[in-house]
Amino acid sequence: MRRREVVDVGVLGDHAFSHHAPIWWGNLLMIFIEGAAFALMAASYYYIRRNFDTWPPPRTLLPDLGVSSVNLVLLIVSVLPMWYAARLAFLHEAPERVAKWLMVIVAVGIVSIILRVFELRGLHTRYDSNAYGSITWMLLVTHLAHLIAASIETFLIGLVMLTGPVEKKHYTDATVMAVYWYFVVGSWIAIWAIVFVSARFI
Amino acid sequence: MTHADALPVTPEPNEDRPKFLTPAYEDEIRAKLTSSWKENSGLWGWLTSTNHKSIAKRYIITAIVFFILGGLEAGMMRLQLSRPENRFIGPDLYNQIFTMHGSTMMFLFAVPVMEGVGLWLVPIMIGTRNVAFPRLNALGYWMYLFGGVLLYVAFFANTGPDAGWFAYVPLAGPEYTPGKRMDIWAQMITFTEIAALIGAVELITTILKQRAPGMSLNRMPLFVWAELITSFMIIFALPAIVVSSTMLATDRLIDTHFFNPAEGGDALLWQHLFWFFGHPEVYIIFIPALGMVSSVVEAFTQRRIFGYPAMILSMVSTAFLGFSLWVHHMFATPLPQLGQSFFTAASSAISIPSGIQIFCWIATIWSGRPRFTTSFMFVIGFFFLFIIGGLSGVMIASVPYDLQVHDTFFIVAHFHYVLLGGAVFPLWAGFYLWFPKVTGRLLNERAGKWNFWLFFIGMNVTFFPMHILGLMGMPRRVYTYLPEMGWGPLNSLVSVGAVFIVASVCVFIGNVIYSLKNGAPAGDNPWNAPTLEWATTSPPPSYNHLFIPVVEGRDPLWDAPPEELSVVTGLRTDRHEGLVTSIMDAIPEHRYEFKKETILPLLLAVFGGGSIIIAIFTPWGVTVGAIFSAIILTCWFWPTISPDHDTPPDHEEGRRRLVGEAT
Amino acid sequence: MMAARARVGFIRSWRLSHYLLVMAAATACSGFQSVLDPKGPRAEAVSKLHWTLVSVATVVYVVVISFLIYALWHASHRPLPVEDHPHRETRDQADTMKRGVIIAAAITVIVMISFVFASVSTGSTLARLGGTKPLRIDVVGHQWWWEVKYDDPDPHNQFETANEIHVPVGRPVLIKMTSQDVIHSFWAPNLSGKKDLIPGHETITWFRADTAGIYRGQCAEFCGHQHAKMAFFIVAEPRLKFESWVQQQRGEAQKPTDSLQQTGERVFLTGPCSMCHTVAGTGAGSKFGPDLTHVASRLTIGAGTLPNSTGNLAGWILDPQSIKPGVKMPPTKLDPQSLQALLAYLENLK
Repeated sequence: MRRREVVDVGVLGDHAFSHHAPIWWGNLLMIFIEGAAFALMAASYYYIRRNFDTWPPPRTLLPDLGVSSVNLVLLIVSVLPMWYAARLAFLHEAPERVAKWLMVIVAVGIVSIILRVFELRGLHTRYDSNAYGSITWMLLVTHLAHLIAASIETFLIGLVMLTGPVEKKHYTDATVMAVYWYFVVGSWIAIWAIVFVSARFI
Repeated sequence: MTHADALPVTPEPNEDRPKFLTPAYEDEIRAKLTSSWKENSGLWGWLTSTNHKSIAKRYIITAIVFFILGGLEAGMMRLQLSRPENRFIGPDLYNQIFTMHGSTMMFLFAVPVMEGVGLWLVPIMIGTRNVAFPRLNALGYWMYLFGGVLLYVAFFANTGPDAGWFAYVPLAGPEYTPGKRMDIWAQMITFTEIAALIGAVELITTILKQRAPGMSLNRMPLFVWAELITSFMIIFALPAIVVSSTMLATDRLIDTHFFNPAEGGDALLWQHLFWFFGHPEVYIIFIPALGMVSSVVEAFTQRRIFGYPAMILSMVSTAFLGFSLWVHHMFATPLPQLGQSFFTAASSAISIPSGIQIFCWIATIWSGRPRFTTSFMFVIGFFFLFIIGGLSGVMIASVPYDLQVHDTFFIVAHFHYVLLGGAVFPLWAGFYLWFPKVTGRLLNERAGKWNFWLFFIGMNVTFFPMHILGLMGMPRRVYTYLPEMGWGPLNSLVSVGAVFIVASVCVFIGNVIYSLKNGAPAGDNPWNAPTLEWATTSPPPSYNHLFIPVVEGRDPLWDAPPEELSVVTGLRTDRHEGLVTSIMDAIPEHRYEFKKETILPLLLAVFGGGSIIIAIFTPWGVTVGAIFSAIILTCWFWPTISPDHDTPPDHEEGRRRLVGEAT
Repeated sequence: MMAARARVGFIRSWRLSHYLLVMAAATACSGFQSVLDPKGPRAEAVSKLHWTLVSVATVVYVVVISFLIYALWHASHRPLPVEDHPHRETRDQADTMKRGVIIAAAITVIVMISFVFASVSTGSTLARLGGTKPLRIDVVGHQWWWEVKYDDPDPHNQFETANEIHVPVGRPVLIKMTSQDVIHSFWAPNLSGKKDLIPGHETITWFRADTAGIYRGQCAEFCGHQHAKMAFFIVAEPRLKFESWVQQQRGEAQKPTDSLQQTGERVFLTGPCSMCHTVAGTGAGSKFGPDLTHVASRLTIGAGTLPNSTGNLAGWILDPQSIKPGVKMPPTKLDPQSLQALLAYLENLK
């Protein structure tokens, strides 16, 4: 078989950002999977609602709005440093600078994880009290797992950026991490609205 | 964005300057690729491999082993049911066996084998060197393997699940199935489903970003389309089973109340979640099979498939409809009337895209010149069987009709016609088509015809009478029945049919073993098929294609002049490098390094699996597993790079590579 | 006493032969648990639908397969013109193929819509079939038997039985169902399609038997170990016969008529039996197992597992686990005298 050369790709770079990068797609698909899981849990929440006359169930206080809203604001605000870190990575700025902003996110993550403990307390129910407790705990704990995973990942990328050796693709990783963080924040907005707000009206 | 500047592809040969690569240059590249893509040998090499072909081969072989186990379970059920009041196996074992049969065939055979075939073929078909995330791919396999093996270890230790593959609560809940049986089921199902999700992520990313230059979406082989669509279905359907089996596991292990009606939970919630996964699951199995049928029809009629856009649209609409049918498994539960009519209409509507595909294939066959190889015979068998399953499927979409035949042997007959006829027959056709590519040797055609006829006859003798048994009132999942019911004679006939199926599978296994050694050498393209997997050697080298091909039409090997291939040059050969192209038009965007082989995926699967098993006994399993997994993942993502990581390839070598310049 | 035994024996054997007769008749024709032998309006409508769907599906199948065979034959036999492109259809062929596929797809749409139409119209027929003044019966599913309660505005007229539902011919029967444990499904195919019994939910089904007869039904949703042996009978009788059956069932249990039966009652009340079973009018009031107040009047024991004969009853009491492995009833150790007495007592509970 004769082979005809029609394109020489040697001149192309070896990493890219956004939807040009395979890892961006891998990350997006993970978000789809986890988003689908959250959506099904949310549907289950309203499905279970139909089995109760009052919501929350009798002798259960409404979930506390205080801590959860603080967490909400904190996470929403954290989008800014994350966006900035991603921007720096996109511009291939010094790895230390990217790392510094990533560490801000890690700090936010840790605070948010601590707040989550108080949020769980503020549900005024337990996972084994009744189906209401089970589904609210499931939503919050699953999101907690996301928070923990995202914080660890961000920390690792930051650490690589600090210690090196840094490859160009680590810049891509940082921007992809940002997308995942936005998902963690966005899913918290939804879960907060479901568990802490909609419970007051349905 | 500068990184993604479109690189112009010039498919038209430049007449002034013939750009054929010199044989010497090809040899040089071959030698370099062979050394840099060489897999470690021995056990260590086997445990650490991340090559998509090795992983996919394991998927397929493991899935076939599970298919045989599931088949043996079916055989035992048929022995038990062959006559009334048989005492061959009691209810306890029977219930485990039919649960294992369903779980095995759905979770451990059908989905993994379809993904396995995709993971083997897709990268070669689209002209890339490996899947996008090779380590993740290996992790997927190990999780699948451990999930399946642990389920069977439990089964052989008399701790097999016994509440059905659908595990309806409250029967599968803590109160009515105490002990560990359903715990193991719930955990292992989550495990294998995560593997399936990983496979889907791999396939989608690989298909969207790593197609050979020029292979725009509208030039992609139908099989690749089928795998792409299926993978998207997996992404949106499988979270439902992960969520629901997690709920079941926590209900059983830490006393949550998702499905406990006494505390506001709901048994029907399980059914909704399970079937929201369970119905798309059928199409997840069936759509890749459609892709295989297209490949086989194309190869053995020597015609491109008629109605390519219609075929794709049909598959896409089947996928969408597949998500709006789940309630038709629940017609006997209290549901609003209007909803039922909607699900009847949606379920019947599946017949339209399925019909269109069948008509397009028939048209293709009509216009072509068929060669009646075993592979093609299996596709003809597919038409004969699948259409029966499809028509009975439309019948049971009707609510009043379904209420009579639901949960009877009529349903057993229906879905075996759909799944065996609609998925296993195409799978076999694909096996006979691609076996030469995978092994370099043709399967024996004479044994193949025996394989086909025995299975075709056995299939009809086994499953057709089940329709009648169902109408005669025989429910599913019964371990025995009374002589007065009059079901004995037909059941005996059904059991005789099963013997044919067993014989057919034995012939198949014998054929594979025989042909691996003694089969006729295949050559690169024994069937004169049009897709890129036939452009490389049989079996393909570990880097798949010597040069990434450039595609100029839907049927690359038929469109180009014979014995000529347009290719890409300029990829680095000293590391595992591939080419990333744009999503729609497959324009080269950047070079991409694949991760190398490593033991980490295996370790992660071992610790993950171990922790999930421990979690059945104490919740601390999750904590311990999470910590170990975090450590492994840290190693996984930790950079391991060579000093020249970002340098471009050596351009000097290009001086020697073209015939025009060398002479 | 001998006479009483003989009479009981006669009744037993009469009932046994009656049961076997029903079974034999059922096996001979298409079945007493069959979709295709409808005995009531609901099953009848579905049976009609069945034959419609089967005929249409058969025609569709034959047509499509004929086209496939024709295509294979045509392709194998047509002469290949020289100018034929090896891998593409000619323009003429393309036109034919396009036309063919479009027509076939259009026919598919029409057939599919007519399927849906047939289904929906059958559905609305079924919905309209309801009648006035139905007989109301509550059914509760248990692993693995059916608790049957006949509703009545007057609580004194309510009564319970198990695994056997007597209904008057021609009168609609409304069944309200739920489950005590896992999901079951109520299905007597000669009369009506199935409906699930779901814990925490209440479901409703109804049927009407237009012909007198005994129709068998069976649990259709997998419910654990003995899902296979969870049957029930619907006995459709002329109105008068039904009324007399109701009168008999409303009454308390027969008092023992001889010393053997009295011994048997003692065995029943002091032994393990009364821990699970009710016999109205005695001290036995436990609801764990089926109500035995009129057990001797029933066709079968063990939810359709065995014909209700003395020998079967004895075997069942001594070792139900070997007959229906996993059944919730434990084996009972009885000396031969006590067993004889107990059997005599139970035989008398008509």
